Amino acid sequence: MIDYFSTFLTWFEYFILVFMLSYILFFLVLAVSSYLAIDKNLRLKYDLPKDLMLKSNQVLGISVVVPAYNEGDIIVDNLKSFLSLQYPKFEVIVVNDGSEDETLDKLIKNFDLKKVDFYYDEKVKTRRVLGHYKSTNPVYDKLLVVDKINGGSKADASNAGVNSSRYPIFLCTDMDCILKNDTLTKLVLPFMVEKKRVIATGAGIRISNNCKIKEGTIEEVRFPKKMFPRFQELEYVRSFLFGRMAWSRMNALLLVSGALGMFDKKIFFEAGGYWNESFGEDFELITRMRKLMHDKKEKFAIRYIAESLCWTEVPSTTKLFVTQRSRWGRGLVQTLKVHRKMFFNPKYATTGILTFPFFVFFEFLVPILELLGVIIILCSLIFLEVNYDFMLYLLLAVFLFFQSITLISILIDEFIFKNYNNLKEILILIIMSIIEPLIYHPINTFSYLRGYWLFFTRKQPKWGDMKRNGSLTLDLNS
Amino acid sequence: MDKNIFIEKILIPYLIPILLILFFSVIILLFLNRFAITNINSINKKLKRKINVFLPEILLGGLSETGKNLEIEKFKNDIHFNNYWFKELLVKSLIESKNSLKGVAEAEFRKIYEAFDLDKHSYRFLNNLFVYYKKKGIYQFEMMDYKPAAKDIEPYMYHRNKKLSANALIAYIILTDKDVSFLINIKYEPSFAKEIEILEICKIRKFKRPDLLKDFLLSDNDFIVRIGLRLAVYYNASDLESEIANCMDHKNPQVRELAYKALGSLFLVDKTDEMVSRYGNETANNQTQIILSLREIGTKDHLDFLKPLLLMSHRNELEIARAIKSIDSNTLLTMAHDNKKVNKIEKHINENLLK
Repeated sequence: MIDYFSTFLTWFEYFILVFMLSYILFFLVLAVSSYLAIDKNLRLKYDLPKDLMLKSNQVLGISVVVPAYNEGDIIVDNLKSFLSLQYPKFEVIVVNDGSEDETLDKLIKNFDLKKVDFYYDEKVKTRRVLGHYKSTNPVYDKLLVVDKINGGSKADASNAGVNSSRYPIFLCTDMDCILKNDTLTKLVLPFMVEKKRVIATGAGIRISNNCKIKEGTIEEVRFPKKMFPRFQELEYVRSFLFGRMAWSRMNALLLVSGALGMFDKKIFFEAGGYWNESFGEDFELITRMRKLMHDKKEKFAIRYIAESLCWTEVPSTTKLFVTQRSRWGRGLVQTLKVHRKMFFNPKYATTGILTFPFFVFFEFLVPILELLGVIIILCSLIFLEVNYDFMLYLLLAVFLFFQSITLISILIDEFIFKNYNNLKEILILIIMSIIEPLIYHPINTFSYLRGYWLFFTRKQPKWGDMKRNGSLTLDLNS
Repeated sequence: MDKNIFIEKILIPYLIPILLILFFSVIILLFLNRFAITNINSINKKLKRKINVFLPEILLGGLSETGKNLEIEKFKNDIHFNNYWFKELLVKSLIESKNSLKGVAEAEFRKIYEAFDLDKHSYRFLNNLFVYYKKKGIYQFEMMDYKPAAKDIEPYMYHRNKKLSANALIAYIILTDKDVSFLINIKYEPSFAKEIEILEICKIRKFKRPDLLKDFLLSDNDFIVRIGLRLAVYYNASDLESEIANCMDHKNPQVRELAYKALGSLFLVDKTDEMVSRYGNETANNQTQIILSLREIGTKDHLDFLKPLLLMSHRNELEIARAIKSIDSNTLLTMAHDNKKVNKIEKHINENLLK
């Protein structure tokens, strides 16, 4: 028996060696590609539209779709912030997704809303829409409120918003997101300048927990105070610098965040809109849109802007964090399963050959391999004579490698964007990165594994799971 | 390879020291970088404070010419005005002031720009080997509205780097203030965004109608034809009816879309039937545009085309209904009475708050 285990262990070691080497190699390629993409993006600084274009009514119109579920605490201030975005032609569509609090009442009262006879064309099927509201106050003439029965998902609410929109491009965001004033201009620019058909754009997202916020706008960007938001700050920087930008450069981006994504409405409808049953509707939508474009054999691009344009709250407690990541885990495995035909399918070009397998091997498989690794180490400690020197030195090497990767991402972020205020914040990030593998990473891995488990055991979550709780609100306003 | 050999020959002597050096080097770089940022920020803050006092005094202080010259000299003595960072900050502040302060004469900004050799600073960028810096130089001239630079920017309109040439094109139009007929010589196709910028420049600067507008519509360059159609609408060039109508046969759907738009906006009713006859063979976008134009120039003869379209179409229902209403509101009322869907559409388009 022990002989069998020993043989298995030898093969497992070889497998892990190959896996790790390809992982590291891939990471390095992504890092170089990311750096080049950011550099190219920053060099576009003087190509950005001047004030002249921003006064023109000839620009592409944008509908900003904001689903809201029990957002009574923040809806008035944050909506005013959306309405004050700088762009000549846009509307803001708030979808009240059957809120049980005073969300709709506050909207009606603060924005002088009146129910209107709106011709609702249900291009993507949603739960019943109860009515549309417009403001009688000309100051808020850009606002449209859609009131609907709760559909149990952000996807359903977003679909109702897009169904009600009038412009060819739409931005999907969340009510708790705070956008930079020129977000629309920067996100829509690729749609207006690229030769290829741009079907979606996204941009960097940062953490708003602890930022000083007044009337829906950020007065001062502050570093998160709590441990989990700090870890996530680190994670966002790393994924932005070593992931999204690189994928964007290769035109192989498979994920545009649900908190900030701009889309071509025509392709969105052709693809069937957000999938109501999805646990990761943003990831699934992009995968489906890419699939559609490949099926149509039409050239297209999905772009990522090398700048943080959105600040959002992230879970600040272990419970909320585990819930969120479990959902992401479910979303990942569900999307990979639904679109499995794309896996190594040359018909889907880079999506099928590169991005999809990357997500299968290095996103989906990693938590499982980590769990397997822990089990095997424990078994080895019990049944075999373990070479502790080898284990510890190898562990140290892996630790140092990933530490260096994380620190390099902080360095690039600091060098290019100068997002931090002082040395103290940098020191905190360094400490966080050192303790990350011991605290944050195991919880994250556990959450993903829990998500996989929930998916395979078919347990149904609700959108309300990730609703901000008191502590998050407290963070935001403190 | 034996594990012990791997540890002794590779891991301990090479891999771990390399990774340790990398790890600590990045930490040191992070500290050094932060130290540099703090220092630069503090210097910039001091300079910015001084500039913020100096600029309003010159621009809004009501000083005489001599007074201004004295203030400028005094400020020059007070700071190292040849310093690169200072020049960058001053140009940035000047551009910001120019955008925010309305009613201050152009000459006032130019006086400061030249007094601190900022024109030479921008020229240095323009003459730099790297395209990025050339674009930066062009940007500064454009934002400062520095007309003498126009002739130096002109050659870059034909540069092989398309982004640089498009930027130079916009800057040149702004700085020369002359007839944009020279656009006919452009051989490349700038983006849709530049198309809008050019139109807005013509509007804001109140340029006269280009002499060669007719030739724009006949150009082989789709970009020039598109600009031509937009300008034809802006200058109300109904005399170019046949050239505009010919654009309906253009191979580029975007050109055709603008042609339909121009026919509607210029009320060229004679071409309406021709436009409608193309509906079935058009792209979805262009079909929408034809409906929108029919709202402007459609007649009762077109109701037979629009009515079944409204009942059967799953796209553009609101636009079709608006077109019918603008031609004959009674027809829409009758249709609304007989059909539930049209009734809802009619209510929508009659809703004042949704207009």
